[in-house]
Amino acid sequence: MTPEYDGPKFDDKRLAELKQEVDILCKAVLEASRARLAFDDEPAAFASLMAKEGK
Amino acid sequence: MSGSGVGDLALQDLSTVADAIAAGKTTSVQATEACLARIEAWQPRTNAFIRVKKEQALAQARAMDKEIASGKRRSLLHGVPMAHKDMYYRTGEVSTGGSAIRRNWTAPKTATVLERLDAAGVVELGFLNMAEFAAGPTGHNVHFDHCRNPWDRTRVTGGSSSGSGASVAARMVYGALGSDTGGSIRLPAAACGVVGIKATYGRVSRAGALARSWSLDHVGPLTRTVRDNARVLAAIAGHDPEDSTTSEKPVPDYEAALAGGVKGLRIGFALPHGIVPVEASVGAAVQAAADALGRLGATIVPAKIPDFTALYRAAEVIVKSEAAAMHRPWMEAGEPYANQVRTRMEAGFFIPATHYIDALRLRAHFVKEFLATAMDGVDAVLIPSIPFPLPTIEETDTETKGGPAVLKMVASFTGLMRPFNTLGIPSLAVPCGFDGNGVPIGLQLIGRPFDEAMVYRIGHAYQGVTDHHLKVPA
Repeated sequence: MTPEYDGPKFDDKRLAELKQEVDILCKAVLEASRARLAFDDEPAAFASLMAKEGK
Repeated sequence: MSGSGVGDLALQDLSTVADAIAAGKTTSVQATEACLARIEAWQPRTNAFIRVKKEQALAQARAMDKEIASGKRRSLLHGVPMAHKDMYYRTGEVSTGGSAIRRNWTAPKTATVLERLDAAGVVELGFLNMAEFAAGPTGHNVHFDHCRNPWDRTRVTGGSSSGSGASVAARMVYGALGSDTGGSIRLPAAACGVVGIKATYGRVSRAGALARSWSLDHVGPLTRTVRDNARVLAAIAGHDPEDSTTSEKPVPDYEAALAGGVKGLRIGFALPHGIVPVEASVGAAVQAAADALGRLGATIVPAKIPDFTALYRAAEVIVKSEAAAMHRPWMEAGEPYANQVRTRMEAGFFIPATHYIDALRLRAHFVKEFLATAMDGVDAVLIPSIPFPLPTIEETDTETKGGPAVLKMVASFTGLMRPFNTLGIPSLAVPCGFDGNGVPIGLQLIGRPFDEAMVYRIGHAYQGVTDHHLKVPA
């Protein structure tokens, strides 16, 4: 099911570094998401909130 | 002032010079010549400029003087010379973005903010050095050479608006536009001892500005004083049909609000651990600023700062995903990037779309939480800018290492900055002292959405009882 990766190519050492970097980022976002996000949350809520909160 | 010589004129601040031009006490040509003399002296020491537009600037200044002589004053900025980070497009002119890839690229349109400064009568002295593609917190640039701090040329300027910070600090210009995706206005402001604002996301148009990350990019000015900054922001802020993310909220009279003082205000204060701890000398300088504001009548209370880790990581997910998308054709073609720039974007090719979207969805929650904790019951929050004394260019050069070494360096610089790009709320950097090496220390004032007037008001009151912003590098 996973489509073949079609971006720039990297050697194994760099791929390992990137995997570690992506894992850290994704873990943080996933944890924050599980703690906060609900079905109806959408990205545009940010702009709406800012407009509402703004003085 | 006009009789005190060209050198002295360059040392005045933007508002003073603008008002003097309007009053006929000096001219735009004299102010421009004063800046050009400073550029001649300081460019070799700082490498702040990529291009100086000497003849065009003088011609523009003559035109502005002619208008003043005929009784026309376009705005409070009429006739004032400025220069800008080399990422603001002007039709038919080269705009390098600090990169080798766009070294000879000609812009097909003019940035909205430049159009607004043109309409305001600002003289354009040229375009300024920057981190390649606005990616780098130190001012390193392998293509145009590193920008150097006017206070100590062995030390970093902060980035990515490196030339903007250095040129304003060295009094080569009265003000400069920078851009801020993870601290890139506030870092050079703090490192060079000048004022810089990352206003609310949507307050200033990004149209015609080279993007680093569409969702996190903020356009804003660097100046010598808070008053100057308020004056420039007022000229560039406001809705722009060319940038759908800009707000239709009216732009307040920021300068008029400066007179409010801080008596009766409540200011949250903290020395938070953002990736790295706040070093003692930096903490002491920011504490002293809090004490000064307290003596002016503000109530200083401990700020409840949330854990910045998730805010920081969400920003990284967003910026890497968006940067990888826009740079993909050049990266696949093997175009010449600095190692430290290219390696920061590579992870973006592996971040799942769901995580990118979740990072965007989280922003509203993060803002609500920050307003309910750190901003609860206070008018603004005071924290440091760069949490440690400024390192040297050599100490922070990760070009040969790339990868994890770059990430570690970037995180240490931007730990107290990047979270506010995720939040999109205003953050004003103001100089608050000097470290043991004689290099500036900066503070940040954080405000509620679209309440730039409040952080300006506090920053202006602070500058009224301190002189850090009046010191000039020798």
